[in-house]
Amino acid sequence: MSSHREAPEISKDPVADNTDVYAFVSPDQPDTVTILANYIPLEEPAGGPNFFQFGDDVLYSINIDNDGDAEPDVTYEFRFTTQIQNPDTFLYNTGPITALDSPNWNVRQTYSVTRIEGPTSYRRRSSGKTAVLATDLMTPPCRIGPRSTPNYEALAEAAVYQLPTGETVFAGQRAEGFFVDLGSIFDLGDLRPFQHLHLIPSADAPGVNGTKGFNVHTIALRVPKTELTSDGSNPTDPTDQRSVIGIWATANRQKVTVRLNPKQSSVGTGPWVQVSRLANPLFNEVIVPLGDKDEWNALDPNEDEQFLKYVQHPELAALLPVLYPGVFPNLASLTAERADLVAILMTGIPAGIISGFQNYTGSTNADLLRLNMAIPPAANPNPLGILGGDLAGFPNGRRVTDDVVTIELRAIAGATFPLVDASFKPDAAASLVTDGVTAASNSMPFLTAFPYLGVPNEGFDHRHDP
Amino acid sequence: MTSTISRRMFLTRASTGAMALGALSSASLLTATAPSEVQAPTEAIEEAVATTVAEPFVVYIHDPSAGEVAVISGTQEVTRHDPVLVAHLLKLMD
Repeated sequence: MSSHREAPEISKDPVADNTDVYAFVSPDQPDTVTILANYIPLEEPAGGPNFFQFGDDVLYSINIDNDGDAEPDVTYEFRFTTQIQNPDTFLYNTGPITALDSPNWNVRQTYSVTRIEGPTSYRRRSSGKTAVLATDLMTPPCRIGPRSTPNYEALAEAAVYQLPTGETVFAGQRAEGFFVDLGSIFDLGDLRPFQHLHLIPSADAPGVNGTKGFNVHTIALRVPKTELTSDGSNPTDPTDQRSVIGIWATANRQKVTVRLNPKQSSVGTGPWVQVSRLANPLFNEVIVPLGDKDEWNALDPNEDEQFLKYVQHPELAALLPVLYPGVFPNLASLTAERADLVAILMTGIPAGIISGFQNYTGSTNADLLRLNMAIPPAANPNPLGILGGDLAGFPNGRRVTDDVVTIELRAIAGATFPLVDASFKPDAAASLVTDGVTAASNSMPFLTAFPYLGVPNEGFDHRHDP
Repeated sequence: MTSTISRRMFLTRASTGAMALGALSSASLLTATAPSEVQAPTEAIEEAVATTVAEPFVVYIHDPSAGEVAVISGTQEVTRHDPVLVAHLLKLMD
């Protein structure tokens, strides 16, 4: 998946597991950038009575680099606190929850937002200038069913907060927006629309959206662009380096957990340790090998040089010609370092490669989701992003509608290599390969306004793809 | 789970180490000498620091006023009443 259960250690700690990061110029407020950081993979909507929530013992962060060194210059931290109103019932709610202050809502979670300016690293225990922007903000309840959470849209809308400092925030359950055919891809790289060409063939079939009907927990943040640039300027020139920012999200736990006596819950102590990280979708999942995945999650992006070799020679690029015999002959003969993938994932795309576009952050190799904020939102977004001629889409940031699985499959298959070597002719399949799943197969539609991800699937009535 | 240190060894060495540290801390507290400046005079200390522990060795103080310290390693936990040692450990975080 994008980054759901992508590494051995974090797959055992879903509350801290980054699943997706999105960053885009807000289409309805183009003077702002929206960043979405999702956690908790594959939430089954009916999973009560202890429905999903953020970890009170996890420090969640969204990090922005605006000067190309792959260190955070602006960090937003989110900390959560759970309150149980009535410990003498097993119920999440004792009646309909019609408002965020409903006495029927038994298990509530509030959160604080802190902004840090200056280089910050939990691993190196360094921090910039800290300001608490808000406390005691409410997360909405999980979406249970028509009796417990009627009129859920309004309930969640009430949990969107405009902060006095200019940010807009929301934290709570959302419908999974990422779409992918999990069942086929993890079955030896099968792609149902082309599986008659697979090494172990069967009849072609439509893709199956493996994440349909599941939920995630989202931290949504909308920030004025002027709060993200290095000098407070409003980026309008796509060629200006100040227009480009690099974004990633993390989850951090304290070094030691002590489990006390049966009457007390466990407590954390010690410095924060990064346990999950995410920027570009599928980076740790598909690029980094199993033995390095846990370490990758624990490192800062400016320590990514050691993973460069996996981008230059991705394992999947070598597998495709084996799994699909005769389909990728040109890819099979491509032995050069994949400078195209390095640009897309590790440095940003320099000026002069794609007309009117760059999101280059410098020579530091780091997995960052790079966004050129001076590129205006597209009137008609192409789900293939830059690959489809839409400069406002992935890998220029990432919108909720971008089909990142298809984009990255095609890039790894060689479709983007001519950007750095015009003599290379991609295989015909490189521009066709797909898992056959689109955003239209999602169970809940995306919203046209913040926080853009759809309302959660309901526990009472939801459907997964068969 | 196996460990290079047996339960008996752990109990003995944890006790020895705690006692040694307790004695050490008594000296430092009495003389107001920084811990790093205290000479380590005893064989007990040398033996304790020579111990190989394959897993993290955690010292945990739940309630300083009780003067109790728990030493945890592997699957073992040993609790000692040693207010002087507790006071010394707390001073390390000053």
